[in-house]
Formats: sequence, C-alpha cells, structure tokens
Amino acid sequence: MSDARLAILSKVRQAQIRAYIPEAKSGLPARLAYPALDPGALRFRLLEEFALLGVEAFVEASEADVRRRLSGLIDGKSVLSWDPDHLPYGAGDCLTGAKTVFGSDSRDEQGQAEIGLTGCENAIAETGTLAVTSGPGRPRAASLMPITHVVLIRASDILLGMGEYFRKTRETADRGNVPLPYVVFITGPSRTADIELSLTLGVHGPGRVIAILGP
Amino acid sequence: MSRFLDRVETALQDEELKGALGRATDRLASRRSASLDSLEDSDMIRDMARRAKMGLLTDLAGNLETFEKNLINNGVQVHWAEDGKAANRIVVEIAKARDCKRAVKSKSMATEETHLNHDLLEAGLEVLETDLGEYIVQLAGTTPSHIILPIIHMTKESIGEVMHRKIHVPYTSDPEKLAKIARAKLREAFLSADIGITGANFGVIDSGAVVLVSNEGNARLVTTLPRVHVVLMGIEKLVPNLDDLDLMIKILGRSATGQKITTYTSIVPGPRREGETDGCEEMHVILLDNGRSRILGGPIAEILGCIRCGACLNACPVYKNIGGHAYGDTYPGPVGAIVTPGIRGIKGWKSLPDASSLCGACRDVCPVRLDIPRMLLELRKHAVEEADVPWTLRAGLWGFGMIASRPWLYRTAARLGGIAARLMAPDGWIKKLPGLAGGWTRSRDMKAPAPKSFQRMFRDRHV
Amino acid sequence: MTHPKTVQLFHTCIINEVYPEVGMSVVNILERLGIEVRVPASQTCCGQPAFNAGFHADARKVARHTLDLLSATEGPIVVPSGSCGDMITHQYEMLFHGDSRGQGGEPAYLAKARAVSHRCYEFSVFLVDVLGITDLGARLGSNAMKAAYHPSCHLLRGLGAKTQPRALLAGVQGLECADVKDQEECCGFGGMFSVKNAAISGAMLENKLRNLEASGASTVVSCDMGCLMHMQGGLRRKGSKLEVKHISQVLEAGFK
Repeated sequence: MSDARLAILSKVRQAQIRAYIPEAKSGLPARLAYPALDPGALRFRLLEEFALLGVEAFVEASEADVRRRLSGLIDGKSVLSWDPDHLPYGAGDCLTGAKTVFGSDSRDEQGQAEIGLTGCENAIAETGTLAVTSGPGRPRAASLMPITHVVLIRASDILLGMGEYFRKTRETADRGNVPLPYVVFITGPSRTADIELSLTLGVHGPGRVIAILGP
Repeated sequence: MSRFLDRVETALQDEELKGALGRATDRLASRRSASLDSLEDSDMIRDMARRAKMGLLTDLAGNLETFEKNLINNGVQVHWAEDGKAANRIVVEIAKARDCKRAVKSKSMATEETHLNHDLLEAGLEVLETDLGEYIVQLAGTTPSHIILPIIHMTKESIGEVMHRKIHVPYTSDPEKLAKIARAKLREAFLSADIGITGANFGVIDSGAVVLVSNEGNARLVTTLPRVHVVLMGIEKLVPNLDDLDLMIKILGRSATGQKITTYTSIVPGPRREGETDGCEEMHVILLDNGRSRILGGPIAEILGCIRCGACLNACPVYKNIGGHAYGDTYPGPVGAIVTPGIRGIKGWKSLPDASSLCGACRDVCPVRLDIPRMLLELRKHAVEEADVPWTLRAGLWGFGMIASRPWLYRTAARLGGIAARLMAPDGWIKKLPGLAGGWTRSRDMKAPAPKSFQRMFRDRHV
Repeated sequence: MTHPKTVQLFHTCIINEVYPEVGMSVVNILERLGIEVRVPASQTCCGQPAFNAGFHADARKVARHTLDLLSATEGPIVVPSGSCGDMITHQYEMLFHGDSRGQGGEPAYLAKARAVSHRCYEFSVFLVDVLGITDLGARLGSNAMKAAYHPSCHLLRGLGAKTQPRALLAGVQGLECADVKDQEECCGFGGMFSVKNAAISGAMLENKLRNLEASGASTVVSCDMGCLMHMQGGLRRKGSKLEVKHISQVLEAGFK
C-alpha cells in the first residue's frame, strides 16, 4: 500500500524491540467469569439498574399485556419504528394506532417522530444496558433520533454482563464466518454534564427511555 | 521565565477557573472512587486491562497489520498517516473526492492533536463540533481544557454569554436551556452534514471494529447520518479482542465520570450493509503515528496504554490548580505531561515533566496502573541529556553529586552552609533566598540548619 | 523476622542538618525498645535531589556511596522518612537498571540496590510491621492535643504505608486525630519542584494549610521532615500558631 504504511510499520517494528514494557502481574485469570444467575434474579438486577438510570420500566405478564402497554404509550403519536416483523410479541400490530414511519422513509419524516420503537438483542442486567443491533428493517435512527425511546425486552434475553454478550456474538460471527453486527449499547437516556457538571438529559439522543419487559 | 510558567501565573490568578475547576474535579474524583469501590474485583479487572494494553505493545506492528486486514474485510478503507499534517491531508482528500461540504465531528483528542479543524476550514469545508462542550469551545474560539469535560474551566454564566454572543440566542445561564438550544442547532447540522469525523476509543483487533463511547449520543449521530465516516485514531488505541474490550468498558466510564458504563457504546464494524437504511456508505480509518512509534521505542512506552479517561487530571493537585490550558497543548494533566513531550519532542516541552511534585496520586487512580511518576522522571532525565538546562542547575547538581559522595567534603560544606545561613537568619528563619532558591521564599520561610548536627548530638551521647 | 537487636539508622540529610532533635527522638524510642542504634558516620544524602531533577549521573555518584556504606553493614536499615525510604527502596533500582536491554545499567550496584532495598524500613513501618508494636505506651496527660496527621506522598503511595502511622498515633493516649479535608493530597513540596515551580507549589501549600487550619488541630504530625519543613515554613510566613512534629516526637513525648 502506501509509503506511510511501510514507514510506520517499520518504525514500530524497530521500536518494539527496544520498548520498555513493564511485565504484567502474574496469576490473573485469562478472562472474566460470569456466574449463572436465575432469570428472576437477572430481571431484578436489571430493574434495579433501570431505576438508578431513570429508565421507566414496565413488567408485563403476557404478550397481550405487552401490546396493551405499548398501545397506551404510542396511540395517536408519531412513531419511528423497526419493521413490524422484527418486533417481538407481535407488537407490530400496535402500530396501527400510531402514525408510523420506518427506516425506509425519508430522514425528514424520521426526524419528526416523537417516539422511537425497537426491540433489543439483549439486556445487560449488571449495568442496565440495552444491546441494540441494527440491520435491514432495524434502523439505527429509531433508538437515536426521537426524544423518547420505547424498547421491548424479552425475559429470556437478559444477560448478566456485557462480556457474555460479547462471547455470544463472537461465537455466532465465527460460526457463520460473518463480520460482527453494528451494535450500540444504550444505558439510560442521553445525558451531558458538560456545563458545571449539571446533569441534563436528552442532549442529542432520547431524553426518555421506556422499557417494556415481557414474558 | 518560560512560556509555561507565564501560563501558570495567568491560570493561578484566574478566579473563575479556580472555582469551576476545583468544584468539578473534586466531584469527579469522589464519583470515581465510589463507582470503582462498587465494582467487584476492580483491582483484578484493572490488572487484566493493564495486561491487555501492555501485551499488545510487544507486537504493535503485527497487531496493526491484523487490525488493518480485519477492517478491510469489513469493507473499511484504511489509511496511514505519519504525522498530523498528513492525517489532515487525507481527511481533506476524502472529503473533496466525495464532494462533501459539511463536516460534523464528535469529540476526538486525536483531531485536536492534529489541528484538523484548521486544515478543514482552510480547504473550504464547514466543520461543526457536536459534543456540547466542544461546540461551546468552538464557539468561544478556544481549546478544550480537560480530556472528558472540555469546558470544565468555564462557569455556566460565561457559557451563556458565549452562546448569546456567537449564535444570538437570548442570554441564559440555565444548563438545561443551554443544552436544548444546542440540541436544536446541532440537529439541523446533523441532517445536512455529508461527512462525519470521529476519533476512536478503541479499535478491536480481531473484529476489525471501531468502538466509540459518548454520553450525549452525538457520536452515534455522526456515524449514523452522514454518508461518509472518517475515523482518526492513534496507532496505540487497540484492544486485542472483545473480552478485553469488556474490561476496558468496565473501567473507562467509572474512571472518567463515575458511571458504571458510559451511556452509549457503539461498535462500528464497517459501513452500512446491504438492506440497511442508515449508517455511513463509506467508512475510512486513518491510523496516526505522529510520534507514537518514537514513544514506543523508549522508556515511556507504557504511556501508550492510556485509555484517556481523565482520572489522573481530576486527582492531580497541579492540574487542579492550573487547569488544562496551562499545559499548552492538546493533552493536559499528568498524562499530557508525558504525551506532549512524547509526540512533540522534549525540546520546548521540558517544563511539563518538571511541573509535578511526584506525589503519585495519578498512578493510584490510573485504571491501567500506568506508572506516571516513573515516566516523568524518565523525561526529566531525557531533558537533561537532550534539551537546554540552565547551566546554574547543571553546575549546582554536579556540585551536589560531587560533594554528597564525599563524606568529609559533605560535612565541611554543610557546616559552612549552616554558618552562612545562621548569619542570614539570626532568629533561625530565612525570609529571602537568592537565585533559583528564591522560589522557596516566595511563599514560605526557610528554617536555617541547626548549630549542632544530629551526628554530633548522637556522638556526644554515645561516646 | 525475629526481633532485631541492632539497626542501622539512615538519618537523612534534613534531619542531620536541620532537625537533629527528630533524629534523637527516633534513637530514644528505638533504644527504649532495647534496640542498639548504629549510625554509619559517612552517610550523606540519598541522592534524591539530583535524581528527581533528571541528573542521573550525579545521583548515581551519591547512590553508589550510600549503597557501598549500607552494604557494609548488617541488619535492618531504619529511615525516618517515607521519601528517602522510597528513594532507596524503589528509585535506586530504576537508577541502576539501564534501558530495556540493560544498556547503561550497572549490574553490580543494581544487585546492591536490591539487597539494601529488602533491608530498608521507614520508621513507622519498622515499628509496626517488624516489631509488631502499635502502642508504645505514650500518654500525653495534661498535654492532650488534637493532631492532624499528614500522610506524606512517598510514604503513602510510594511505600504503600497507609495504616502504620495511624495505628501508632491511635496508641497515644490523649491524642485526638483531626479530620482533614483532602488529607491525602500533596502539600506541594516535591523537592526541587517547590523551587522550580514555586507558584504551583505555593498554591498547593496554601490549600493544604487552609485545610489543616480548618481541622481544628494544634499540631501537624507526619513521618517526613521534608513535607513538615515545607509546611512549617508556610505556617510561619502566615503567622499561624499550628505546630509541626515528626511522629517520633509525639510518640516520645508521652513517655519521657
């Protein structure tokens, strides 16, 4: 490739022979272990973290309850949503009550939406984090542009730590010999403390995150 | 007096700086320690993170080649830049070739280091910083003074003043209102931008992915809306794999702001894929050397493990007193005192490693346990070898070495010095010392040596 | 380690020239504990001033002298200073190590430095960790006081001794330890730093003294005379009544 590439690599190669790099502490594990927790404990932990982050959470017992809750939140509103077949719990049916735009609509229309509706690949209990991947029918803008983000979480998708998510994703990618998906880990509403450390929500991303936990 | 000492005097007289900085650093430091205390095995996790960072330096060249290969497999175009000018030229070329006119940026220390904005403006592009703090820095026409909180030195009143003056909005000092104004202004910019520029918090070698963290979400917008995404990252900003990334994420947010995790962590493995409706169409990664290979080849190689969390700034009593601008370049605080002479050369920057009492607070809080005081000492040694050092100091310490290695000479010199000092100070206290030593008596008295040394007292008792 | 009968005292240059009475307090305490104190007469300074300024060649001259004379002795070496103790324990190794491939290093002195390092103890660490003593029986009686402990940076973070001095002070009857804001923050001394960067050092000192005065203590106690000399000079300039004492002076005062 370029001259710069060769020049840099050769300088680095020369340098790393001479580099003073302190030795690592011995006796450390190869990687972190994540203990297996039962689903109830995981959900409890997740809800605890949501509360600390200011994520509004609803726990629903059945698929019908999830849909009812969702309709209550989005009816009559403009919603930028994932394509219906990517939403769990048949939640796509609820979109009839809202003015809905999708990833395929124009950016201006997307920009007008009041609510973004997505599912998530996993929720990370340890930190109250949502792992939201994107792909066809799952636009990144849905969890990003509207001021409110509603996310649907399946009980079986709750993991303890991010490391577990990474291992699962790595294995899937290696098995299929495909690249990793684009993923964003979302932990609470968009925030800034740039001005005198005073906390302000919703500076660029959503200022409100609402999680519906289904069965 | 050096330029550094001039800047220090200015900073120490700045009451606004003193107030804003002291309050913010104290709160950040206590949040950091509380959030690390709540992390189980935090010591082990820090050790493991350090191992990962140090390990990859032992074959940085091989790791860069693997990273490059995996990026290319993911459809990313990779560029290499030996210095800042070259990096900026590459960005301009990419923008021109794709007919891009408006650039949006998310906070990036690497682009501050190369002064990218200046070169983009010169090439006729519009550039807008989108991190709230950086946006205000840009409006104010200054530079960031902290790695994490660019406007830590400003009060909300002066921020309101800047926004009022520069974008003609009614004056307010309410942080929430100021943030709302910025959101509206910047959202327009995002929708019309055609090129997004970011740094990288990490590059994951085995995944060919770039990792970006932000609390505001601007880094997400920058990588989601414009059709071209350019990443400018230092060649050291790698982690081997996702397991190691897990460690880094666990310590980065906690060390920086005391959050368990930063609000948004995006893993960007290339441009948008078939069937996707957002994300950039083209992604470029520029790997920047700019002195890093030189750093690697010497005793301060360890600094290349820095994850730019800013914890050392908040812990540093020097930084807390003088703020970021006094350091005179992109990276302030203890890390800056090492990185700046590292990338710019020791000549002209030797004041930075000198500006430390070697108290070690930085080393204590560093999430990857960088031995910052050791590196400061290495740079001081380097400065003595390479840079101009006042001959008085050189002669003084030569004299010290000569005398203190000869006990009889040492005792004679101490006795004579003691007599002279007691003549200057009949009451036992010297109020004003001459020459370089006058620094001491600027704010303190100097106790004169005792008439009878400890050794003589001891001998008198024990013989 | 078995209870040592003899120790070598590396008294430090500041104590020898400026605060000889502190050295005597250290000797008094050790002798009262039945330990013979030997003071190698040809000792000078550990060399830290030159080392910290980056003048390694000059620092090596002094360090070689110190290592030669300490190597010729036996038993534990007690240093009534965290800073000089840290220099001998940790920085000598860096001084003689050379680069990553050992070039420019001095293997013979590196070996001496490592051997001496293992014998070297700061005074409070020696009392608590080696002798296992936290209560020396000090009783202040009518001189009861409120003291502010200042953990010196090189003792606290360099040698990692956080608890030992506090344990010793807790054993002094009649001594109340004051809470100090930002207690573990540097006083701004830093050797040559206080001269070369006098303005920053002065600002750090000012913060420290303000916090110490606000603590309501009458005395600042520390294990390092360098820091105490710095704070004392600042207190005197301000006209403050706050006194400074080495930990040995407090421990000794009670059982005189």
